[in-house]
Amino acid sequence: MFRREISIEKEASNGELDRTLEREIKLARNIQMKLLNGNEPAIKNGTVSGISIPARLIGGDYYDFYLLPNGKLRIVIGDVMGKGIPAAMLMILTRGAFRSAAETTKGPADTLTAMNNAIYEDLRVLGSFVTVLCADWDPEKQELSYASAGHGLPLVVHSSQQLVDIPVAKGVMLGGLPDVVYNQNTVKIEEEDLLFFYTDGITEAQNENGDMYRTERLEKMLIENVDLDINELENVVTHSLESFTKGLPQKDDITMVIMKVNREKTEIASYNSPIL
Amino acid sequence: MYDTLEVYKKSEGNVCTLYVSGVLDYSTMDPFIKKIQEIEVSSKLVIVNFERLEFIDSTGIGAIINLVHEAKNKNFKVKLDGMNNEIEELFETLGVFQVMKSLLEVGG
Repeated sequence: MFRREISIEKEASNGELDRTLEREIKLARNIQMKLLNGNEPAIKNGTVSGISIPARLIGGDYYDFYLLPNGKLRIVIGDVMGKGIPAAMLMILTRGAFRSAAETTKGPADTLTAMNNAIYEDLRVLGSFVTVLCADWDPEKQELSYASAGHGLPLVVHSSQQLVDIPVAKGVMLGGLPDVVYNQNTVKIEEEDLLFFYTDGITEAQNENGDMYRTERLEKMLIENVDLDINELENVVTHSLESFTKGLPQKDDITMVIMKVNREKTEIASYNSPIL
Repeated sequence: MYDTLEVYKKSEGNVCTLYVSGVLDYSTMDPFIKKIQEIEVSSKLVIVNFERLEFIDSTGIGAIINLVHEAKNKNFKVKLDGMNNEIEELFETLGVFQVMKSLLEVGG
């Protein structure tokens, strides 16, 4: 390691190191974007989509979908402590833990327990943590089960423009404590309801006066636009944030997963189902 | 305009208090980490006073979590004082109090 560092110093004088770093960061960004923005699950009579906008070239936010053999869709959204390259590296660690856990665990709470067991030691050594919200969407029962590892709950908006008060599910962040057993809760989702999972980069976005966007503004905007389809909603949210911050540099990664249930029962068509 | 953080350390007997003022985030962390490193080995209680804290991000919260783990390892207590409702709610959501309770209370 020491010899390699000396070698880099000798080779990379006069900006060569800068160019090498820039190239490698761009490659890292490509890797992250491809892993993060993979295929979205096709849902009959319903739609789901995610988007992540890093504050820097790469970021520490994370979302993912996983189709379970029982027909449910597992959704995860997470936020790694910190920003930039260090956060991006831990985001990949979190993704691996989720993908491994998703195959073998029964529900969102079990998934978070397995993820924490898998990465707790690494996160402690690094002095870091990750907040994660994991949810299972059951298209047959039209129920959403969810568990939280230090992450805010999703917003659920009814088509009658009312915010649905969903039961609390609290748990400690991944990397906070060893051997944590997480709890989950369940909410019935009505037809045409909107589900909005997000990271705090949205609610903590600041304008020139230092005021934050805040959850109340987000809720109001979702209520007013509940009739839009998910892609239109993504645009409305991002435009609203741009309008609020008036082009100020983005301070934190912004991530959202939007799901909408159509009038007829949803049916998950196909998406990376594990081979059993 | 840049965010700033000021940390004032006061030690009385075996109680060390850190008064945190301003923004405790990714860009302002260094003074806080420096003061934590200066905590006397003889300290039995470390109080972090948040009365003048304006904002804390995940990196700042990570530093608090790390302080709690250090307290567990070095056998001192940590008390978080003077936080406003918003920060208290954030700490509750993240599970910071759960970590403190589990690691620092009797039997933890």
